[in-house]
Amino acid sequence: MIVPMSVVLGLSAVLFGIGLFGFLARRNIILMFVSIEVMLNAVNLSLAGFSWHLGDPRGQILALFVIAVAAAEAGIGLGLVIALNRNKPGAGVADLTQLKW
Amino acid sequence: MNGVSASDLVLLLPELILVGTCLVLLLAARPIQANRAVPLALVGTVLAAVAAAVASGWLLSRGAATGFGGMFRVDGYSQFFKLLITATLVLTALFSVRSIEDEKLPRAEYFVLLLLASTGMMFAASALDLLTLYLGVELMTLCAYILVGIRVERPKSNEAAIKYFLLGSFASALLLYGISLTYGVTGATDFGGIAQALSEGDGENPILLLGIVLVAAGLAFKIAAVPFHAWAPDAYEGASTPVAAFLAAGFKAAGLAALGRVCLIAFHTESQLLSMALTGLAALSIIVGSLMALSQTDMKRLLAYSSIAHAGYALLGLIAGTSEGTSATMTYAFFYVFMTLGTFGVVIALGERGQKLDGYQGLAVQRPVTAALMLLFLLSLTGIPPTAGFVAKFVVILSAVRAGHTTLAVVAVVCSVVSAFIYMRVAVLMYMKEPEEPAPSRIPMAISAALGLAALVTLIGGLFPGGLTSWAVAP
Repeated sequence: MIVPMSVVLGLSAVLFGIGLFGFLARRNIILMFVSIEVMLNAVNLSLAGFSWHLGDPRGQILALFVIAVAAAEAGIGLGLVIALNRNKPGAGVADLTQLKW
Repeated sequence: MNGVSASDLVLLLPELILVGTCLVLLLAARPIQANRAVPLALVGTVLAAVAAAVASGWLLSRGAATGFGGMFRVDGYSQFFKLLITATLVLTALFSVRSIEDEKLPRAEYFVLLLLASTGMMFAASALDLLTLYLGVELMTLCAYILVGIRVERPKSNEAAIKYFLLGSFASALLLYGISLTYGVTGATDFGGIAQALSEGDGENPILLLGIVLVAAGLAFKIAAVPFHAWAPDAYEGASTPVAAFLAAGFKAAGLAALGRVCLIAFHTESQLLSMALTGLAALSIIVGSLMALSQTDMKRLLAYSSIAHAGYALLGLIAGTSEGTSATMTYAFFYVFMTLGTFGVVIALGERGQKLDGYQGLAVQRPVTAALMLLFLLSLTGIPPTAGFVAKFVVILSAVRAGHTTLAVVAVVCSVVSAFIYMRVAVLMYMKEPEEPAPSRIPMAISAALGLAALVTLIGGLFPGGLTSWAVAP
């Protein structure tokens, strides 16, 4: 392997951390959603890396499924955001205060 | 791994029936939407659920089998949960008649989402591989996001769906990272392979521990165990009541099924770590769920916190990591599903009035039968004999004591007393207050039938406590 496994694993951990931080720090629904996508892609990277390292195709197959599910998730998420925007134009996470405790 | 054969597909029969019904409903969506008189979609869904239950039973009678290269398992454990999931589907579909009418929901699509979510739950119950587990769990959650937000014109529903979606996707990412790390360390995704690699491994590996904790956290989110519970009260309050009932009952059953198999088969060599994590989840869920429910005035929120506490009780059985403990959790899941669906059913039957706690004032005078049913479900949720709730609580607490977690068992019993205040508050309102609101409108036939079924199981389960033991067998 050209790139050592530890580097792949480290890169995916850093990416996952960036996504995690973005999800917790952002207050815009779309950007929070993008952060989740970053986390999913970090997982895909680690899956592909492990798969290469182990010489076993299962990890890459899993990554393909993750991509498909992430696409479905994106469709649903954006649909929900559009539905929210029809009722409350320009709403962010800070405006979601009707349901509490 | 060999290719997929016809005998593999037969194992999928219950799921195929549900998916086939989905396709028919989608194709016939327009006539179904146009025909207001006959609840075609409802009848189709109930028939499909019954057929799936029969198919599950038939598969079980052929003996346990594994298909799709060791990814999909049909055994007593999976079929037990599949029967439970089909029962949830039938009761939810029957409960939905009024809200579909009143809230003008797209009826074909609504039932398609219910059916698909149930298919995902069945997959999760049968999963013998992290890939099938992930796909099953995602199928049910993706459908649930839409079901929660299906009342598109209501801001409350939008908010609940967005919150649930963001937290749910976040939890899925954690689950996936856990799956990836587990795969990297063990080189396997099937539960048997993982268990074998772990037993041969040299023990402590921080990456593996992180992977196991992340997988457990991702599944704990699905059953809304504290500290992964924040979505549940909001999602239940924002969703229409039948959807909330479906989430409370079905998600718990499927999540517990998946968690049980993962703990018992894949990670059984790491039982110490798992037992520690599950003890924390169970104790926190029971305490936080019971205490937070005390101050609620919205009935769905109250039931959401109650369901969080019940998730904690159900986890008590899994802590031991033995087959007796798992079978205790199965018993708990079974009775919990029926008593929770029953309670939600009464809330649905009362319509707008049932949403608020004050709406229950004087119900016993106006609707004695409905009030009596509610009392039965509340007693069962508290865990008072001779209801099924007592049997359920008894077996899980016994299993915790046997595993040596006496403190946890004491906490569970104390919180059970606290929860009596919550449930009896409703009973006091029903029986000791004068009615302030006009009597609720007549209850539709479908809802009465579903309520009767839930009440029957709750009563019979309490009167014949040994009835389930031969069915609730761990994998």
